Amino acid sequence: MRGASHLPGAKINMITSTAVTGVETSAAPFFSRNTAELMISLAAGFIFSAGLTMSGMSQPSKVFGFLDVKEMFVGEFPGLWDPTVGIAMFGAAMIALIGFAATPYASIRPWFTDRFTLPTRTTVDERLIAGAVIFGVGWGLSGYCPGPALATLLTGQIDVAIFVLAMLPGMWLARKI
Amino acid sequence: MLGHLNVSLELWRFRVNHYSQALSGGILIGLASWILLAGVGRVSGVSSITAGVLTSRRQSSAWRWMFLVGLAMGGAIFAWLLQVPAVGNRHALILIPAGFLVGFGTVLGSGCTSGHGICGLGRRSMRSLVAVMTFMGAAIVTVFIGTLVPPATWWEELLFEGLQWLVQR
Repeated sequence: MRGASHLPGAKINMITSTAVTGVETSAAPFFSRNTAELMISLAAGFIFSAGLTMSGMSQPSKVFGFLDVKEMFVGEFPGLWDPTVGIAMFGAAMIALIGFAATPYASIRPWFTDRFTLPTRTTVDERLIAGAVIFGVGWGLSGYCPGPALATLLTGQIDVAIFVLAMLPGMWLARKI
Repeated sequence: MLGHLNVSLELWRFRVNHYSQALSGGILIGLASWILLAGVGRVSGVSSITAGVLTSRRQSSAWRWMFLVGLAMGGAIFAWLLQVPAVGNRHALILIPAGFLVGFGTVLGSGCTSGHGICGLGRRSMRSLVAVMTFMGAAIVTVFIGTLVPPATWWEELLFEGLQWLVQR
């Protein structure tokens, strides 16, 4: 019955019919809120990796080129210093600044979940400083931070595989203590 | 003189191309962070998400798995599309301690470059600003020291020769 779709009861009819077939036991439609949450997470990860790859952050040589600040003083200003990673981080932080400022997360809900789950701590403690120093040393040694390492994991480079296999126990241990 | 001008113009054109590509990549990263915030209500810190996958219950971290799958798959696809050069093989003697330090430090300091550097600064968090300045400084100092000491292969040879000397005695 085509003309019935705009009636108020049309949606309820659709839901009960899926319940009768036994495929979906809950009253959720095919594309549920939960599925949408997972799809948007997948899309966010996908776009994130596009940005990482495009900006050159996924290449340790670029990261070293950025962190090796003494090259700034070779010749004219940029010298042999490569600011691309810094430019990418600046752009990302600017867009995040605009995005977070434009999202009134005190008064609304996210599109596909019930509430915003954001960090609540505000005090600068010794755990934060110690963790940041340890991470900085590891970043300076390898040129990888967790995001780019996971984004290049499936490109088949043995370096990244070794790095990630060493990173996971570190994370696990830090969560345990 | 004109030739010199031409060369520096080429250099600047090259630089502007690279810098604008980096900026658009950064904008994509920021956009992805905002999409995750607006859609799921979460902060897109890769270290927190990975640690959550390792330690949380399976039901609550389904979105984390999906984010990581998207990240790894997209990374492979875009590296292939953009023909990103593969890195040279580095020594496992550096990679293993570095990986362990990165994993331990990011979880202890509750964030990495994406969590503190992008979302944290976006939220104007004081903690994140302190963390970003600390790990940037530590990384710059580490790279500076790293350029002064010999590479890992040199140390390996040293160790090998030492062992040989011990065996021969």
